[in-house]
Amino acid sequence: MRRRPRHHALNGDDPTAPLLKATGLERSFGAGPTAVRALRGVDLEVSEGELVAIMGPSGSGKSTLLHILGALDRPDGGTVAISGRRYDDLGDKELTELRGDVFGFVFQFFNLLPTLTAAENVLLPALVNGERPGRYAARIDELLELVGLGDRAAHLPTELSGGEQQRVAIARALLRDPRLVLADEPTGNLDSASGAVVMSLLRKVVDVGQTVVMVTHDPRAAAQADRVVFLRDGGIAGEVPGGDSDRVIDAFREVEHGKRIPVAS
Amino acid sequence: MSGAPMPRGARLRSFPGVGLRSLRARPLRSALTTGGIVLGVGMAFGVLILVTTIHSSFEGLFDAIYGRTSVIVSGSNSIGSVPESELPKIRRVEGVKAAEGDVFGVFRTVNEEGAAEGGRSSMLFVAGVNMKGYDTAGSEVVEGREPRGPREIELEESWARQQGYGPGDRLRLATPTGRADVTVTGVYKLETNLDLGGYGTAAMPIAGQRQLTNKYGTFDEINVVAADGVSAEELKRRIAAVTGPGVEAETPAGKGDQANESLAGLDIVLYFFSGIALFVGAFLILNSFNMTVLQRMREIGTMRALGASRRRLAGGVVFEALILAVVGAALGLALGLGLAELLASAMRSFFGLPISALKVTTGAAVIAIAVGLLATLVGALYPALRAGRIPPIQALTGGRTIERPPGLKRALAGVALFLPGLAIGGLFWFSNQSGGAWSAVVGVGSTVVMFVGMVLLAPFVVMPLIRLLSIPARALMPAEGRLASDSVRANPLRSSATASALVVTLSVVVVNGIMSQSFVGSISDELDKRFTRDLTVQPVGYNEYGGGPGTNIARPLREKVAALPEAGTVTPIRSVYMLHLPVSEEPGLLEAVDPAAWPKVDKSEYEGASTAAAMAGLARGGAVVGKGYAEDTGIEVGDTIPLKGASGARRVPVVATVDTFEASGNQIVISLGTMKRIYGITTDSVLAVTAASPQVRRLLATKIHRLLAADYPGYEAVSNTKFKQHYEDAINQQFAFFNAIIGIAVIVGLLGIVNTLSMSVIERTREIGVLRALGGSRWRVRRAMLDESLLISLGGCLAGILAGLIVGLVWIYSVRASTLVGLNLHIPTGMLITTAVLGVVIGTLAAIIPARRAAHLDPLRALTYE
Repeated sequence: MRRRPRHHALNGDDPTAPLLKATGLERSFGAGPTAVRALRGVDLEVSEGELVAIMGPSGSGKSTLLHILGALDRPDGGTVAISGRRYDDLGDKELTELRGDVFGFVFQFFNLLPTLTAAENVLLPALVNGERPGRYAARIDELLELVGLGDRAAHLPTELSGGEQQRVAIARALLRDPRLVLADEPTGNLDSASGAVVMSLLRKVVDVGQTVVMVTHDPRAAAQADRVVFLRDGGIAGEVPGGDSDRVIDAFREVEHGKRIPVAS
Repeated sequence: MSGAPMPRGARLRSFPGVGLRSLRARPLRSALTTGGIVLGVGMAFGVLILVTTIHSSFEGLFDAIYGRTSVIVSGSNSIGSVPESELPKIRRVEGVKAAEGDVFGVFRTVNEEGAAEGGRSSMLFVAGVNMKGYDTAGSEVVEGREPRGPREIELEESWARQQGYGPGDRLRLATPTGRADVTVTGVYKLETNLDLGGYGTAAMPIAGQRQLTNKYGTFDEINVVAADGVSAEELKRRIAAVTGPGVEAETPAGKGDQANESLAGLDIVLYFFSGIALFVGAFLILNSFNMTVLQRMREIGTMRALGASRRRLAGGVVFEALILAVVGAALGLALGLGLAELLASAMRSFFGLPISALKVTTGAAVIAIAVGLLATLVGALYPALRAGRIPPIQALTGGRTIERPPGLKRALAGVALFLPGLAIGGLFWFSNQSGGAWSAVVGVGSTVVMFVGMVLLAPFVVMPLIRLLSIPARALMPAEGRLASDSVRANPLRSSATASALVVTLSVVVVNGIMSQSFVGSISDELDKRFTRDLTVQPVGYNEYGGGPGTNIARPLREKVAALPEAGTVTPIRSVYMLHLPVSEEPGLLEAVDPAAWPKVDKSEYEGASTAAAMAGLARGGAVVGKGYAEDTGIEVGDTIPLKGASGARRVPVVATVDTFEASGNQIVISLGTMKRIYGITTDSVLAVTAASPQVRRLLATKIHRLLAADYPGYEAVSNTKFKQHYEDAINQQFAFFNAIIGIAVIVGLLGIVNTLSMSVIERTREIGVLRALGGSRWRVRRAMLDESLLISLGGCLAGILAGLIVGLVWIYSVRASTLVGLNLHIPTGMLITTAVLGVVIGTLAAIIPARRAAHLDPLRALTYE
């Protein structure tokens, strides 16, 4: 997987800063007495080449956090920057550029376009950003091979299993060589076997330098991460290193019961 | 880079290709959406062709008929006859090569049984000409010879061939002076091509024509040929200088313009209806793409998350719409040709217009396509902007949004558009339509604004109606009824948007109906009050084709009827339709009556003078004017109006006004003597007859029928009831014609409903699955769909009826207060009921396909539908 030169969207970024840095993120929904504070001041740093998992009970705000990190939503307070460039206060036009050039997204329900083939779905980010398909012929082949679907390029999503669809989605996310890939419950809609395949794929791309942040409730998926960050009631409740799914499960239980977990453990 | 290979397994070349895919993925919806544009473009093209054809038919007609004639001298606006004494004056004008006078007659052919034949092809326009003088028409005898004696005639070639007449044949005609047998001596053809759409023309010696029509001392027209080097315009000026004030000199082109002018009203109506079709087409696009955008929210959100800009997404929607529009426009052109042919033949039959073959121009096609594309763009704009505004987060939350019920802002906007549009539109339709193209644009435009306001207000009327209608639905069929009504009420905007197409079209139907019923009813009321006659003797087909210069009643017939012992009063009425009444310049009726006999057959009440005084005033050369005319012009009793005719001109004092609804109150009544003196008209339009006593009424009727059948086959005697019936039929025919055009828009509305229902099926897939899993049969599901469709279409129909009633009432009362004082409101209840039934029919039809789809959903797959 080759890395392409940095994109224009991040001209003038600071090479010494962590790839992703969020400080004091706040986000509320609704107004008045029924208002919900989904995030109450969240800090997060992600370095290049990391696979970070975000876990938490429902209502913890983890999805909201992911949306903000992925430029799908704007925070009400706090800052977030990618390679030193802030994007918490950008207009829709600039955010759109970021989404196309800098971020890649993998959704829980795959979100493939049902009328397009696998290869066309992978091609979609290019088309959506006004680029010519010819440029990407080799890359699409390469990505489909990478995710193990080289021979299914012409198949429609209805002809693919859930796991295969998610793998196409991952290839799509990687098409334009994003700085950061965000995954929202990537294995949430898959059986454990397909889930394992997807997670090993994510692990593979991280091992060659891609940075991935994912939200999950699956401890086995989280265990594949380099570290697991826990959220509870809109705030960070601690983190543990990845690798051991039992440790993750224990930590999750502690968080559920309202305990904080020290950062290094 | 175009040579670069496509990625394996990929055929998409650009972002718009994604849109094309989704169009192909939903063929039914794409087809339905396109249908709206097909009909809109078809209507526009058809109407344009028709209008062009009608106008060029008339132009061609005048060119052909007048042949070599450079200037035509006649009464102003072709009314009345020119005194014979004008001819030598004209001949002496410098630059005149030749001048000949003609007398016209329109006769029906008579069949073996002696009855006048009906239909267009049995009407013969005969010109009585000076056979030995200059041939101003430029005709050439192709068979036989020119007629010489008073009972000889030559026929125009195409009609002669069609009817199978040749030299030596005997032709039986019904003339004002009775049945006449003439001998065909020859067949001629004109230098220029003539296509009268079935009517025939012929020529005969003027002496014979005078005998047949009983018109002496005048010419109906004097045709003048210019000498070489003299232009028609110049000659026209010179002739006008020597002829009397009421005499008009005009070129054939000018006559054609006059005819075109009288068609202006028809043009506007046709354009208006094609405008409606386009409006509904654009509306369908709006509705359909709105639903598509809603359905594809997850897709669109995903694309936003992948970096698609707002502009690109909005552009994608517009692109999809334009693709459909291009396809629709192409099909629409084909449809337009068919529609034009249909409309043309309808006009030939209903209005008796001599329309020749269709004239199709590229200009018309270009305009039709352009307005079709424009309508599409306008319709696609809102959904496109909406698509652009979809936040990327929608990729995760999916398509289902809770519709916010329509708020105050929308209501206010609706009222702000509806009321002014209502007011200005009403002013336009009921006042002069002579302000030219500009006022037409404003008038039609404000009517469209009114419709937009109606659409905005639709939810506030349709939803309560549907709530009301759901009560019986739920009572009769609890499960399906509930499913249906909940579906409708959960999507108030979508449901009322769908119903809106019906609301708009049906309101037009209802307004049309109210107007026609009120007009007809008002006349009927008035005739009931006024008519004390027992019978009317009139030319056959008098109401339909409005007569013409020759279909008049001559004195001999009048005298024969008066001679019957059972006859009481036999008095003539001479009516002339004027395109420009003096002072007001509006179209209206000029009528002449016999002041001595008139009160015996007519019980009008006059204002400004007693009946006796009014009649005396008429006898002295005065006029009675309709109240509408008086209010329009500000003329009062005692003022004078200038009347100019071919035989003279004078200022005539107004002696009284009469509250009449005939010609919308634009009426001037003078005495027979005054009409003869000014316009030179000596033949009657109809005879009003009363019996000597009520006991002999029947006998009188029988005797008159016998007299007419024996000697005057071109005439009939109608009772008062039948007279009114003729009148009503003529008006109703016109409105029926317009309703047929509206029917097209209703079909488009139907398409909209099918669209909505299809979407509803998809959205409710899970619920349908539950219903089936719990044991609901296919029929139950079908009924649920049917219920939903019925609720929407009935709601739309009733709302449309309501809207139409409001608009109709407001217009009638405001017009009543201002210009048409005698207009009474008559509500066509029969038509309203039919319209409501129509709603049920539409609802049922629209439900067929979606219901079948819903019923055949596999329950298991439906339950797990995401």
